[in-house]
Amino acid sequence: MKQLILLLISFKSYAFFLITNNGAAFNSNKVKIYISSNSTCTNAGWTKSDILNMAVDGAKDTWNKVGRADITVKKGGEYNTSDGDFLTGELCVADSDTTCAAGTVPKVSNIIIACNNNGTNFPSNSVLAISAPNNISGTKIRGSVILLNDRADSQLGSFSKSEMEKILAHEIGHALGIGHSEDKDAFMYHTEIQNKSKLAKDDIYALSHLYPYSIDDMSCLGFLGSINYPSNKNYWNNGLMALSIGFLSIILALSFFQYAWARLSNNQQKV
Amino acid sequence: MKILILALFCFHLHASSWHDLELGLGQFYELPYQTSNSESQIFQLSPVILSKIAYNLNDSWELNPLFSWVIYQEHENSSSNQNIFIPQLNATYKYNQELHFTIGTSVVIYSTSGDATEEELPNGTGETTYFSPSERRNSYQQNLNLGFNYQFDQYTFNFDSYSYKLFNSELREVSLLFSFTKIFEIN
Repeated sequence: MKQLILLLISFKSYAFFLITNNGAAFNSNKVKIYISSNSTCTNAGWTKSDILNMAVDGAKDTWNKVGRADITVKKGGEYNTSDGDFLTGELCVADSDTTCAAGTVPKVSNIIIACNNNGTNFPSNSVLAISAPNNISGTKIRGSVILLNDRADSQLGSFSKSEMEKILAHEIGHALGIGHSEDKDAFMYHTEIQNKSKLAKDDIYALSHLYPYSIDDMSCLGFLGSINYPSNKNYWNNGLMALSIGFLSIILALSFFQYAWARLSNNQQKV
Repeated sequence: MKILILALFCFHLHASSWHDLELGLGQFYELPYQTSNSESQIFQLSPVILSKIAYNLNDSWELNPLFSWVIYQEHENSSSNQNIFIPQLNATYKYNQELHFTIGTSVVIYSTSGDATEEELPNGTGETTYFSPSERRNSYQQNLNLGFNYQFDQYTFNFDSYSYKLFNSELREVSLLFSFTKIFEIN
């Protein structure tokens, strides 16, 4: 009982962080994820197809389930390239004012996964993967790269499929613009990611901060999840209209049931 | 359409029918995100300040415009903070003098902000600079409200649930609000 009371009054604070100082995010609410065609991933211990499927499944189980954030990660396929810098280049986190040196991982669109063995990216085999937007324009992310450790001593092959999905979901979080969290329960905490079962509130708030639903996106009867009201920039026609029509629908439904109940009761009395 | 909605809302509106103002405190639970990686999240304190007003429609029904503010704590390093604002409109069915059932709809506003600070956090074998938000952003969600309240003397115990995308198993979100309010009669 004492423990329960202590838990009930425990304060918990949040501290999500972002990759960029201006809260950069993808401009589209659907981002595709690809794997570079020239990756062999021999040392990483997984096939390209496995890695792509695990990344998509990881995103589906985490980021795609956040109802209050307007972002969906979808499967792309193979990203056709013969550029060896995907496999050996250093990751350069670049905004529009930054020029990356030659030999760094090329700027991309959407999210590209590659198996990489660069010693600066992966100074030891304890670094499983790194990820960051590498094509940013102002507050818009145009593309991000996820690099998986493909050193000869890579540990990635020792993880189960479920653990790999979580590791890749963490990296997709970075690709979407979310930094590490100080909350040990968060998916975006810097370690022990494979032991997390689902997103924590800290992750949810970070994603909804980067990809919020605007008042213009609100749908009529949105709580049912199916009926979309045409979106435009008119405040009344969206937010207030959604609230009003939703409420009136409930009242009408209640009136109908009350009427039906009264009729049913009358009929029973007559019998 | 606007006129039709306004007409429906204004129909029967008489000043004398506004009868109770309620102010209170409560506790808010976001279920999908409080059953995960640690038990402490289940019992995390998320205090709520709320106010509602009652408008009598007839002997059995009243309207309840309501506003709730869920206050989350700022991190001690002042990095980011979150608040939830919930303007809502409920219809209340008075089953008897004490027990009332509510149904309605709300716009849940998830508001996040920060003070644009930088923080060095562990990353791989070293540390990386990350940033707290530099501006306030709001995400809007329309929810279905269901609940009940129990009145005794001048106080009410309220239980409210907020459902989002009820028929979508992937995106369904349910939040709960337990609250006590004090009734101030205004008519």
